[in-house]
Amino acid sequence: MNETTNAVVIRNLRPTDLEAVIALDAKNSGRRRDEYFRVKLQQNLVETGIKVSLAAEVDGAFAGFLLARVYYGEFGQTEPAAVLDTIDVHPAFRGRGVGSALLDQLRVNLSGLGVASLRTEVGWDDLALIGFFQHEGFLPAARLCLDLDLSTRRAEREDA
Amino acid sequence: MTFGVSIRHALYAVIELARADEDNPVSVASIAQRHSIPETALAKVFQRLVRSGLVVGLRGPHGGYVLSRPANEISVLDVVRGFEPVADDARTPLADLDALEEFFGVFDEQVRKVCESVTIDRLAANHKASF
Repeated sequence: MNETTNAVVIRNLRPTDLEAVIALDAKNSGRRRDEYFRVKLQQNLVETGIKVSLAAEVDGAFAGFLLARVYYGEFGQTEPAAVLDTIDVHPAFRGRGVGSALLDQLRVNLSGLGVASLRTEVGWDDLALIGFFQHEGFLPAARLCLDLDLSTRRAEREDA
Repeated sequence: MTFGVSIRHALYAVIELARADEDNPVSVASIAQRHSIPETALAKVFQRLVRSGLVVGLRGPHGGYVLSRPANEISVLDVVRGFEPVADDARTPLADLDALEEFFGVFDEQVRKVCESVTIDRLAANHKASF
């Protein structure tokens, strides 16, 4: 698989991409997550039926990546749905359609797996990322995203 | 269902103040002109923003308004609170509520959280999506 969009080459992520993935994530997030990505990549490369991992190259340079996963019936859903875990584009290659090219290939791969729905989650304060997803056709979901603070006990919550 | 006109005008106003140099107060007239807002309506919005403690008015020939604190310390919720009551943080146990009130509670909490999570500096930066 080698799809191109405006000189952006999309291919499957390889084990040898691990350091590039960690470095890019660290550049954008400000911290290295070696173990997280080591495990994630290992899982994605083995369980290709439920996980999709893609890399983008521009002129041979590692320009971005995404990690997604297919869920078959989780959260009470009856149809399989994919979740986009991570999408990251190197700052030097932003504005060149790298993110769009990654998502285009993901759409193709998910269609091949019989998946018709893709979800992701983004903070309301991440306006640039919200803008990108809107541009790609994502719409707010009619679902509630819930958090539970595990540091507080049930009794404390009920007293509140 | 959306923000009322006054809240929208207030958000335009505080974003303009966030973009301005803090040593250069911004006049109501300049914001009104930039966003095609009736000046009298915007003046009333500024009165509320002053009462809310988000904005300070400065008198004099080069007077106008400035933010009372840094834009990254002012959330959309802070602005909304000056114009509309916001769901109280205290939570009533869901077991005591009927379905409609439960829906109201979750809905209000969601709106509150969203408005609280977005600060004026982020909106003022106006980053364009580029991935």
